[in-house]
Order: sequence, then C-alpha cells, then structure tokens
Amino acid sequence: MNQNSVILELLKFTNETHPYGNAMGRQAFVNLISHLDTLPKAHVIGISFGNVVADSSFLREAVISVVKHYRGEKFFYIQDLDDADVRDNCHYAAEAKRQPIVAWSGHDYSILGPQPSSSNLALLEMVLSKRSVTTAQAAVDLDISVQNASTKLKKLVEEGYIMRREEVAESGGIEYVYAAIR
Amino acid sequence: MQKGIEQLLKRSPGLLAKDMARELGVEKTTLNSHLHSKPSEYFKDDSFRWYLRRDVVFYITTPNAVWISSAHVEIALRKQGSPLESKAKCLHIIIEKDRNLLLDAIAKILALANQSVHMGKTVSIEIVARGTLSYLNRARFFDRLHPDVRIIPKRPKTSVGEKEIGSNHRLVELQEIGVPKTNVPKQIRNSLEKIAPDQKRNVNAVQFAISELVNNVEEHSQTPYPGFAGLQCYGGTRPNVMLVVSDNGLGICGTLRPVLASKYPDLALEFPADAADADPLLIIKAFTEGGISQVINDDSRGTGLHTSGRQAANLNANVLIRQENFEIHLKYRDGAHGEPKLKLGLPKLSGTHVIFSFFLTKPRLSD
Repeated sequence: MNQNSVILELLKFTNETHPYGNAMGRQAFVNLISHLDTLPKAHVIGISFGNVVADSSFLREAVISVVKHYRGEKFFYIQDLDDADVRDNCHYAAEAKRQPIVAWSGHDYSILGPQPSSSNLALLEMVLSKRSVTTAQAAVDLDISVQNASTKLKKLVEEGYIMRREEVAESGGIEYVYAAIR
Repeated sequence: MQKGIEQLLKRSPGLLAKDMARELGVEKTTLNSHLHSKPSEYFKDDSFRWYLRRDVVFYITTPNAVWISSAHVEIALRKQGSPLESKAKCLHIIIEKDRNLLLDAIAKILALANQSVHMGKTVSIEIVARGTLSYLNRARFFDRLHPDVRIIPKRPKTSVGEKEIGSNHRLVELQEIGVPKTNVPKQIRNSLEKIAPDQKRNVNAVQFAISELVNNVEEHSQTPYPGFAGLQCYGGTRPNVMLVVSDNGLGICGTLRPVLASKYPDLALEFPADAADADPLLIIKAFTEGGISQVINDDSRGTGLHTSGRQAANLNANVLIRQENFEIHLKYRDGAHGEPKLKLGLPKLSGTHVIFSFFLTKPRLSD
C-alpha cells in the first residue's frame, strides 16, 4: 500500500452491521463520497466488508454506486468479503449497475458483476494473478499479437476491471503497465 | 314482517330500528323484539344499526384442522365474498373458537380489517378463544390493527411491553415497516439466529428475502396503512418457519403497470394488461429473473424482488404472493421452482402479501 492507496472499513459508513435497502444505501453513499472527497490523492481504494451483512439493494446504492461515481478517476476493490451470500448480493448489485469490481481474499479473487467476454477473460485472469503486466508480456504469455493484447487490455481498463499506469521502461521510454486494482 | 325487514335491509343496510319500524308501519318494540329473537338472521353494530347477518359477518373457520391458514381465509373469501367488495358499512369478523391462527392467516385478517376501516366501515373482530387472544396480543396483532376495530369480547388494554419484545424468539412480533431507526430485517434475523444458530445460510437467506421485500414496501407500495413483517417458527418433528411481509398498498403490478409500456415496451407486449394471467406472470418474471422496476430513470433497479426469489431458492421455500385479485404459488425444491400455480379472479384483498414457508434442516429448535 502506498499513500495513494487507502482501505475503508465499510462499517464506518453504514453505522450498522446489517444495513438494507435503498434508503440506507443512499445514506452510506453520501457518507462514502463525503469522506472520499477529502482524500483527493487516494487513487486506489479498498473497501473492507468486515462484518457487514447487506442485501443487494443496499450494496448497489452504496458500494457499487460509489465505484461507478469515481469510474476512471479512482479505482476500487473489495476485501474481507468472506460471506458467500453477501458476495452473491454484491455480484448482483454490480451486475445491475454494469460495474465490475474484484473481491480479494488473500491471493484468491472473485470478479463480481458483469463478466468480461470469454476472449478477454484469460487476459484479465492473467493480470489478476500476476498483479501487473505490460502489453508485451501479455502478448507473449497468451501468444497473441501485441496489437491484440493492447486492444484487449485497454478494453478491460475502460470497463473497470483493471487499471493502467505509466512506468519508465528499461529502454528509458514510457510504457503502460496494466495492473490489478489492489 | 320478516320479509319486509329483509327487503329493507337489503336495500338500505345499517338502518336504525325506529326508521325500519316507521317504514314497516309497526311498533318499534315489536320490531326490536323480532330482531333480537333472530340473532342468526340479523346483526346490530355498536351504533344500533341493523344488518342482515350474512351481509356483514365474515366467518373464518376450518371444519377439521386446528390451525387456520391463509388458505382457510381464502375459502371464506370465496364462499362469503370479500368484505372489501360489499356495500355494507359494517364488518364483523368471527374467528372460530378452538382454532389457532397461522401467521399467514393473521396477515390476511389484519389486511381485511384495516382495509375495511380505511373504506369507512365499522369493523369488529370476535375472538372467543382466550389462548388465541393472548397469542395475538403477544404477536402485537393489536398494535398493527387499526385502533377503531372493536374486539369482542375485549381488546387487550396493553399490548406486549417493550421489554418483552423479542424475548420469545420463536415468534418475531409483527413489526411495523417504515418506522424510523428500526431495522425489521435485522430483528427477524436475530430471532431466527437464536432459534437455529447452526443454520447460517438460512439465516442469511431470511434476512435478505425480508430486507428486499421490506425495502419494496417502504419505497413503492404507497400503503395507506402501515405494512408489517413477522416470522414464526413452528416446532414438531420437522421444524418449519413462516415469514410474512404484508402491506395495504397498490400491489406490485399497481406500481409496475404505469411504467411498463414506456420503460419496457417488449414486456408490455409480452404481458398485455388485458390478459387474465399477465400480471401474475409479470410478477413471476420479476421474482425469478429480476431487472424490472417501476423506477423510471434508473436501469439498475429491479434487484429487490429477484433477490427475494434467489433466497426462496436457497431456502427451498413455498412462496405465496397474494395481490388484489390473484395469488401466485411457487414451490422451490433443490434450488429451483416448479410450475407456478396461479389462482385468478379471487375476491378483493388489496396490497401485497408475501409468505415464505420452509423447513429447517435442524431436527430440533433451541428454546
């Protein structure tokens, strides 16, 4: 974790271990946005579920709406979401909003919400398991052209599955690194 | 005289004896004596207004079973007609003595009584069995019942004390929906958790099923008299749970229909309003597939009913959805529902009444 990365305890924004419905969700959304707006440098945000057991409507209005609100500006992931039923609810909430988000549990991950096309799934799984790749690495590993890898990786970024950052290449130039949101 | 009284009360139910006597040209005392001598024919309300008994008495019974269920209330509705469709200004509900009420029956009786009051009727409920009266008091039935409803023999003076609420975990009192700072789904979850602490999946499923339904009542139902939710565990060799979420609002299609053609034109064609089974089939689609919501400017809505449907599958529940004139029965087994059963053209009962019943897998309940 660096200074651009923060973890938010969801409970602090719900004030309730078992929140439900749209009204509570909208209030949690306001609480989250108010807090995040005070953290302009925070770029990668982890949302820790802890003991929060919430339904789909709440998660759609609170968590997923926040992720969508900052799409392309801040990048979100979920952690400590161990309850399979809550994970299901989050998946359906993300699907309804057409906003994917990855839930991490150690090295394991679940892609919640809309799933990438089958042709992009292998590439996404590679990025998530390796945590970051360059276009060239992706092209080699998947035995596809650099052009093809680049197109697919850009699409995954646009769709909100992964993020992209610029790094200085060994050659001295700038290269794009595609990374898991974490 | 009897024929004359019948004709008068059929034409103008709720007449005073003095007015009937004048119309019939008989002495008031003679008329009164006749009316009081035939309690099986005539009914007098608290304002001394007279009715033909068959027009105002709604008798709920079961010939053989000890428990009165939602189905028995429906039988009464079918045989006697819905009080909500009767012109009589009075309703007298009788619950047969020596019968116990299942939670699903309680929900429908409450709805009938409250909706009748809302229509301007004078309503009374006769509950002779002390045990039933005491159980209903414990369930906070009288808190959910409109205060103008008269209870015979007597409305309990105080409902269950605040301290006692939640103390009997086998019964979650009928909790009013929409009270600020109350979390009905959590209360119900907590109760089930205490009864069946080893059934986490069931507990989660109940919470989510209820929370989405409660959320729908709060957001969409426009219920003129508050909705409620409750849960009851029934023991025996195979413990089972019944949960109810009930309101007196517009009904699911009452809120969906106005937006269907503009928001979902394909669905409007698939489920035309003039087809008898269109509304129930539309609800089944929303319940099992999701993605249908009355919220105009947000395509991401419509997860609520679907979440409840998913939980019904998780619980392998029997689900009953009663709307104004029809009822849907979905039976989930092994995570999927069989062919839905529809009962169309039912007597009127406004609002939405959703009932889940399912078996716990645990052989015994905790005390």
